[in-house]
Amino acid sequence: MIHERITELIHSGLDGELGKSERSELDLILQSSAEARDYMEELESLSDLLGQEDVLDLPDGLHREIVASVQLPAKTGFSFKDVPAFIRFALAAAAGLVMTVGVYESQLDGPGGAELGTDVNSMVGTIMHKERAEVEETLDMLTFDLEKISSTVRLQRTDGQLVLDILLDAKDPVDITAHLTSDGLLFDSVTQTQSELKSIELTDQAIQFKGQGRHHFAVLLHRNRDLADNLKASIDLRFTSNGELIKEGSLVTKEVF
Amino acid sequence: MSMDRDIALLNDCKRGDRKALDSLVRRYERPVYNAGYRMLGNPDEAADVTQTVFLKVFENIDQFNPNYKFFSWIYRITINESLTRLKRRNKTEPLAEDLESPLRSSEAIMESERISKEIQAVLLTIQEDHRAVIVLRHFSELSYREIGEILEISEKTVKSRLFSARKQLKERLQQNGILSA
Repeated sequence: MIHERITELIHSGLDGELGKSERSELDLILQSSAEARDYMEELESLSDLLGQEDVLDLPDGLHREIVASVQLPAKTGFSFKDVPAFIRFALAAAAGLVMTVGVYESQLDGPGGAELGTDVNSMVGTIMHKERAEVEETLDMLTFDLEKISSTVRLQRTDGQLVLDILLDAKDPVDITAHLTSDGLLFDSVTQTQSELKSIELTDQAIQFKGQGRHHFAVLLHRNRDLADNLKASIDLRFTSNGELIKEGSLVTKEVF
Repeated sequence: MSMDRDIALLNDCKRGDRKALDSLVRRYERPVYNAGYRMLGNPDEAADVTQTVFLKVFENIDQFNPNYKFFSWIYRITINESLTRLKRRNKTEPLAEDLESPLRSSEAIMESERISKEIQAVLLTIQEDHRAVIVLRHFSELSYREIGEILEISEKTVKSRLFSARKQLKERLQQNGILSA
């Protein structure tokens, strides 16, 4: 039976977690105890066995799926958040001053200025908008990555608003239909798009999209005021290409929003 | 993994830079996938975990404290997500059925592959919190301190779990003839 202290030294030694003095202590123990040496050898064999295990490669297409499914804020080349606070204030004050002087001079110089009738005294420091961070939460998601067509559809809450976000990358023509089943919610409008609006048909309970290539659009859902008690929603999605069904699935939110 | 590089990539991601997103995913997708696979023993579930982990990372990116290591945070999400799935699985289905069938036709499988499947099968028999320390130490090659940070336990507890886990693994692999007694 090996003493607990020796066991600890052996395990820690194997893991490279010993200090100099503990390492010397372990070396002395190993020189004098055959039992400790046997135990160390057994653990080394176990460690070698586990160490021989291959690092697995990622399944095909997973990287692309992950990158496609992650949403980032809209790209900005420059962020005021990176600038130290005192410089931000100085810039804001300078910009406010320039604008104030500009408006004041335009009032003096021309008829346009006089027509403005603006109270320039209150304008200094008012031109910077407070940055507003969007809060996004994915409620349900459908994603697939086939040879010629990949897509990620997310039902998400963005700043308290329910949104259906559709990302498509298709080498072949694709038809997407989305049917909403909900007593209290309706499709409202297309909010952001990298697609031509004419390729999207929208009714209160259905979206139809036809397209090819890379598309990204989002559809807002809103409360039907007359039937706002039940706010659960289920959206049935069908992807077809050249008349064949390639993917179908449902997105569901059970939460009251 | 360089902490500075991680933080720089995260900041670029916050500004909407999809190239930075691609780089960050590339840096961590394999470690996350492998840790998920070792915890769950199922490649499909490991792929699901990997995707969920990155979604959670970017949904909660503003909660990440840059004074801490990004890799500790992403590993913590990975282990927690795997444990959640294991709990769900324990309630609904038997353990790792897909690992058993290939072993039945072991003659047709190369020896190294058979051993690999045996190791994974034995790994799945040990207690989940013990399995987590084995995965992080032996497959992710992390130190006691890093494992402690990820699992939010003391180094002493890391050692204690690791010793018990190795004892169980060693005995079971010896019983199966994978490790000589």
